Amino acid sequence: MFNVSLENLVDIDLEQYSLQDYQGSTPRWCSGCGDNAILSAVQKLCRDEQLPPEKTVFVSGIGCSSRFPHYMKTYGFHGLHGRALPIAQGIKMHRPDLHVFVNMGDGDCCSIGTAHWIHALRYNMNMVAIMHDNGIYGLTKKQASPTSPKGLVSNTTPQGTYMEALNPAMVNLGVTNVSFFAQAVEWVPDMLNDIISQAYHHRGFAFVRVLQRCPHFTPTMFDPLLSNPNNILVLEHENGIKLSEAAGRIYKNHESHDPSDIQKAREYAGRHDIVPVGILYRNPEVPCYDEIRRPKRVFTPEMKEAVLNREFDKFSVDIDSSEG
Amino acid sequence: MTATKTKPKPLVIPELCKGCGRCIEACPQGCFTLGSEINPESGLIPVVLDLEKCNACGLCFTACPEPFGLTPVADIPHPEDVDHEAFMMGEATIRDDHYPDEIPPQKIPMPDLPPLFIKGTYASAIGALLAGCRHFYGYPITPSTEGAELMAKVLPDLEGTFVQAVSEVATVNMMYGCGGAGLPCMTFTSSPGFSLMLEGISYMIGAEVPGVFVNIMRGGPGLGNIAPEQSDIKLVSRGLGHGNTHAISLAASSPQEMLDLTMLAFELTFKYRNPVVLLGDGYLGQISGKVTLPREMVKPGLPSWAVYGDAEHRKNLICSIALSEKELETHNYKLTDKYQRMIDNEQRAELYRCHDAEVLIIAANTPARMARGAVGQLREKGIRAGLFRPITIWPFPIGLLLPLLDQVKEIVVVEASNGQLEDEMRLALSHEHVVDLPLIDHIRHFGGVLPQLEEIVDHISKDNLFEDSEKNGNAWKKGGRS
Ligand SMILES: Cc1ncc(C[n+]2csc(CCOP(=O)(O)OP(=O)(O)O)c2C)c(N)n1
Ligand code: SF4
Ligand code: SF4
Ligand code: SF4
Ligand SMILES: [Mg+2]
Repeated sequence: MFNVSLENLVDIDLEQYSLQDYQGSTPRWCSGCGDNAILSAVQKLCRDEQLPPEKTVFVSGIGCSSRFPHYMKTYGFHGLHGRALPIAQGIKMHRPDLHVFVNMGDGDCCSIGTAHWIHALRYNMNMVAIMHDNGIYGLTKKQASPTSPKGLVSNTTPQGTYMEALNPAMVNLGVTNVSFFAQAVEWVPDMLNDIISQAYHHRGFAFVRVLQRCPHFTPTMFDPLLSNPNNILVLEHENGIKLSEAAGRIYKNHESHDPSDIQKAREYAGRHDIVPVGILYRNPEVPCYDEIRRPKRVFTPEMKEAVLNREFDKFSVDIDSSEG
Repeated sequence: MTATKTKPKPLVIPELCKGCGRCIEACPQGCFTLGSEINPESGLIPVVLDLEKCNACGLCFTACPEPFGLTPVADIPHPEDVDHEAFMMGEATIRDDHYPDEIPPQKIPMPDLPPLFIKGTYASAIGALLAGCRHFYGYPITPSTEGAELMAKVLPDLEGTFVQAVSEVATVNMMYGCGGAGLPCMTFTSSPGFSLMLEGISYMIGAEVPGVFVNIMRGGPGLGNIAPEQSDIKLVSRGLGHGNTHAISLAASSPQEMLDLTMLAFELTFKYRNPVVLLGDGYLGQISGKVTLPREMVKPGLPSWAVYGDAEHRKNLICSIALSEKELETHNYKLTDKYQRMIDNEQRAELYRCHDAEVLIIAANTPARMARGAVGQLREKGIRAGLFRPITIWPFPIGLLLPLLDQVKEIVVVEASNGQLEDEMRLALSHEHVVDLPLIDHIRHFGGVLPQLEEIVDHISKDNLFEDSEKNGNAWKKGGRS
């Protein structure tokens, strides 16, 4: 006899997390909003990786996309506009055992939070950062963002924006210690799932820019990509994403790109004729600040006491003699 | 040139100079020339140094290959004794003399135009345009953004500037620069954004730079919500960044006032060379009302102190740093005098049926609209109520309140905040040494819940000060008596 009881089997079953275990409150996003697609990809990842909800935390800034943590049944931190990354860094520093995810909008990350973004790349702490890039301020009702395409008419740019959009790919790939950058479109679930999963498995700061539709304010922004899939260049590689057969029939424009090649990654990032989708760069060897700074030994209460006493001793005065 | 005093200048030691001339190339000021006399000790021809033009840049020290050919000399203080910031910045930087002539603003008559029916934020934007403001900086935040959006539409066609900055921190610093150039500029923001601007506002106050901040206050703390609250009365009165700061803050209670007070804000911000805050609330920003346009609009002038970027104004300097203790104290006395002038001259309030009031409702912004209605109903019930509506939150219009206190038996502060307005009133009373206070009661709401007319009427009717009931159980009111 192997001593297998039905009870044990049921127990095993119970320990499996299902999608429902990650589904928080019902999303309030508009129907057709690409944030829904990102949410379902992320929930799938959690289920596939069986991340314990109590060991998983979603941190966000402020924006439509930043409502993300409310819709996850994990830990969540709906932070301040632009400040999601420093909050997440604080969490990761002290709780390396947690799986940390960050959700930011393009205004959140590329406008008010830019300084934090640059330094998060440099710190390279273990977490996944997803930028929901709809090229617009959604929550505040249609103002231009740094990633809005040039000429976009919005409520603060009634004559159209004046400048070329900021290219987040180039910024990421230009910062010291960048270790993972991928680009996805939210409307191709296969590729999105694959990219988010690889971001999760990366050691270091994995930044994923997801082009995200905002049907409410900019319903036509991504039409060139949606109506002509050849405007998307899929970067495949055995160390990158693999195009499924079905997707391959639609996305005929694909090239092999080794994600360890940063020069090539920068070339793709700088292209204006196509939008590269896939893993542009990955280097798991870059040191991670959270690992470097992790205490290397255990401190007993006695050791801590000794440290304090050593410091206090430097300043203590002998009252009797000083009064003399 | 105090800063250069402590920096070393070179000294050529002729017997150790080999005349290689590297210092001649290195010196951007041309202080070194080739020599012509042989030095008897070395048998070489050392360079000749003329320190007349030397600015102590130090480039020659590193150019000289001889360890002692060229040496830095100065009474260099020990590094530990040097206040590095002071050393780098120099001192005596706040100046207020040698100003070119001021170009005064002009009032230009307006044609007779029919009244408008517009939202509070639009009314404020129009007021700014009529006050001559052509420079807008801002960062979107509900419920203030519509004002900014109107500016985005019209300013480009008025040869003006509209910039959506990358954050409120960027916004306030753009205003610092624009105001420093002597130009009227403004922003629209709401509470969380205003919090981020406080650092810059402190600098603007320190450097005496004008600018108008329209803060459409919303529910807090933190992200709170986008509904009306009077959440920032404390900030504008007591918390405008670090240091000795104050600014006039005006509280509007109708779209008409949003326009009128915006225009006034521009006048005051230049009059005092100090930022001015216009407070609205989320409700006031959104409601529409009839707005009559003023009879005059303003063509801004150019203050003499402006760092305008032309030859005339080249000597001007905008800065908030004053490193010597004495100088900074003097500067603060000057600011304090200025605040006193604001207190003496700028208190404003609307007194509605106050002449014989026994119960005085104190309310500003939207709650004052409800309170005004309540006054009528209370009077119908035979309670002699009046509304005292501060228009300047800071300075609190205590001068207008004091004469009413003889007849007033009870004050009821009605506000959409945790007593921030009441605190200002109590502080003002205390500064005036008012000991015999009337009863002070309040109605407070938060989070976008506004005090309602019926609520005020019920509260005050039940309060029946005149019927002497069990309300004496209210320790708060007893405290108010003392
Ligand atoms: C300090 C501060 N300034 C401004 C705001 C108002 N605000 C909220 S979300 C947002 C930008 C939203 O755009 P984005 O980050 O692209 O997110 P999306 O809504 O498009 O997902 C702004 C300006 C705020 N909450 N806090
Ligand atoms: S406004 Fe746009 S980004 Fe926001 S929920 Fe609606 S569709 Fe999504
Ligand atoms: S300090 Fe500068 S200016 Fe003076 S001598 Fe040396 S190089 Fe010339
Ligand atoms: S660099 Fe030095 S050695 Fe050469 S000429 Fe100048 S002082 Fe003399
Ligand atoms: Mg966005």
